[in-house]
Amino acid sequence: MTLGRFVNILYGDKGSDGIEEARLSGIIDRYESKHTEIRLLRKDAARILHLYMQKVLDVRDEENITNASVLKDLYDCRVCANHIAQVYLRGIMKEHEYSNGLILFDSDSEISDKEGKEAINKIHGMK
Amino acid sequence: MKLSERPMEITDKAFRYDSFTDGAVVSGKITGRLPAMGWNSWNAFGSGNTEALTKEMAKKIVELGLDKLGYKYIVLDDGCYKPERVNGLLSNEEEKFPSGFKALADHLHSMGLKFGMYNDIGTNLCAGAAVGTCGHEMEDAQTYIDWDIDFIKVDNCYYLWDNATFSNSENAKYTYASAIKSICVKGCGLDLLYDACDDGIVFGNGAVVTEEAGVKFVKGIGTYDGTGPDNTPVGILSGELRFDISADEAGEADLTLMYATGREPETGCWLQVAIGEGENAEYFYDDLLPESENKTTFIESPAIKIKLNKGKNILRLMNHRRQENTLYSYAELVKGFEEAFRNGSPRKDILLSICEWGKTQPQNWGYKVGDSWRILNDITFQVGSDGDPGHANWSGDYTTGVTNQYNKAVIMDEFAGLSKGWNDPDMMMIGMNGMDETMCKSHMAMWCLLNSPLMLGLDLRRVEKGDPIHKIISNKELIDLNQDALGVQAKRIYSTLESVNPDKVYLRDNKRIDVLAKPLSDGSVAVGFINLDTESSHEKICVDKSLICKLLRSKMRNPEAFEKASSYSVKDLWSGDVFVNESGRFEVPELKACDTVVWRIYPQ
Repeated sequence: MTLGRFVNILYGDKGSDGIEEARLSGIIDRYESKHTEIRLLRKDAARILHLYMQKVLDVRDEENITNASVLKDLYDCRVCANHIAQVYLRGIMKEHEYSNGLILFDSDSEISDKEGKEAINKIHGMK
Repeated sequence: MKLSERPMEITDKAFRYDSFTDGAVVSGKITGRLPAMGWNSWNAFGSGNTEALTKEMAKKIVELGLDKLGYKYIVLDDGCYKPERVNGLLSNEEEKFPSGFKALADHLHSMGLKFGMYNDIGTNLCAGAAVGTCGHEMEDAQTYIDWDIDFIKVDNCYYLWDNATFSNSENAKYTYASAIKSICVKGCGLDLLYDACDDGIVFGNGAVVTEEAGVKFVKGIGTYDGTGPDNTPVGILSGELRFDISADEAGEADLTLMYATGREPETGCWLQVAIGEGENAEYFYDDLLPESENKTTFIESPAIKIKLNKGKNILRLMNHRRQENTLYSYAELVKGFEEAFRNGSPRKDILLSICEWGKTQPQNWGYKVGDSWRILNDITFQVGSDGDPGHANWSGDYTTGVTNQYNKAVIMDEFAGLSKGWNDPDMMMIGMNGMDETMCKSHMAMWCLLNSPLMLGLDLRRVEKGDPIHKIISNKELIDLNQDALGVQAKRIYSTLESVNPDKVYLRDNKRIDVLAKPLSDGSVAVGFINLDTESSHEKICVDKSLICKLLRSKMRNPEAFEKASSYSVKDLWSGDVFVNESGRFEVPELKACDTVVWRIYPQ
């Protein structure tokens, strides 16, 4: 899924107006607003969703994120650990569980269309 | 610019593991500096810092009188550059920093403050911008000098030669040696086969004899990853496989190995071969080995020429590249600054804050290039933004908490000093949500006693002169401990959980009280009683002058005068109360949860 498509669905299919709205709200930055074709990684989807929760929906952060540490790669990403924890703890984005029992967020993998739409539906359900 | 496809060749012994204890620093590293003090944007604003916010913080620093207390460095952390280089150079993100960095530097300098910036030894910064210094050290150093910076914090994300954050995890191939089953030495009258497990000596820590699929071998030859809190920072933090080889005559011999490679922690591809230790070590191989089919399929190496001395030789099979590569990369930036000065830029002091999160055990080598080195991953991942103070823990998961960082830093005093630099348990979290006033006081006291850099990490607009946070961060008597000219990090001289080796044992159970002592330049000693527990303690804790002198004698200005004093004037650095002690026994009857008592004790 591209960043543009993800943000567009999040902002209710407003096209470039939605992208600009996301930029002005601080959900995405200027670079992203000009490169909407880039493939969206799960960590970036988590960031966009978390910022949307904070800045648009005015949802307060979970203070205790310890339960998110079941994700073995949570702390691999210093700049996105909290974004991941906040969307994970609310069930907005899910873990990837491997056959060897390893539970990861897989922050550097691309978010699929299905995952992206499901996550956005959950966010819209919070309104 | 095409980046190198393999780690640099190291020809200068100065970057070798065997030189880590020689005390020598690279050209351009200035010794004798005290811990840096200032404000860093990360904990307050994450990637969302702006020029306007930075100027407001600077204004508050001056308004609150913090600059007069030493908080001089205003440091822009991640999130301030354009996402890509422009004509090969770094440039400011124009929406956030419209005036550019030189103008911001001028603004801060005009206020009597100093200007700090941020970058990374990898290809990208942690927040993603593709503007890391890797391969750009020379031009970036010149850019920073042109921007008139006074300080630079350099991170370790996207590093090419280690499995660092956002790096390819297979980079572990560079940081661990292959698994080794046996070796063969031919020449100098020898034709011997040595079994790695039966004849080899597993030296240091980390390397282990193991058995898989019915084959015994040695793996784990490399350096521990210190990013997480699990391992002690004290002692030998890497493992080697060694063989004692006696030769009847000196000369050249062929070494071959039966080995298997991998691309994961404990089993990599990079091998170093040396004969001898320390300054006498001679290297014969320092490179990738041809890769085997998998990590348990052992193959024979090409012959490696080694030179044996007559008599006993210590043959070392190892991989210290995790530390050596990282040191080299940081040194490249220092070299860049030196180059710029040689090319005519006015020489100036630029502090280097090494931020590789303790991954490569920088307490062993950081002093050679930097002024401080982070000891763990971040103290909080719940950083703030404009309008949100972020969240901090007293004691949290992984590295996230005041005590998580303190527990490691408190046994690292021997790595710090004026001739070296300072352990850095990360920016302070005073003023963030989750920390009550007592916790903030103890946090400040700990960082001062530990000679940590004192980098404020809060939105200073939330502070007013005389409010509790201001009183904590502006406690001059505590700051004086941190900035004392003697430059000695406090030593833990007693803990309720460890009385035999309190300064060396890594304690992570917070149900305890620690006592730290810090010798000072005027002959006095600061003593801190710290309750790590979130429950109050009614246990009387007592240390006496002989214990203080026993553990700190070599670092005290005048231990005899302290030990033989007839009485002591004791000042409580929080209350300001002064009392006389005639016994030389210093005790506190109780401590509230997370509370700290800090006394400065003057011999009379």
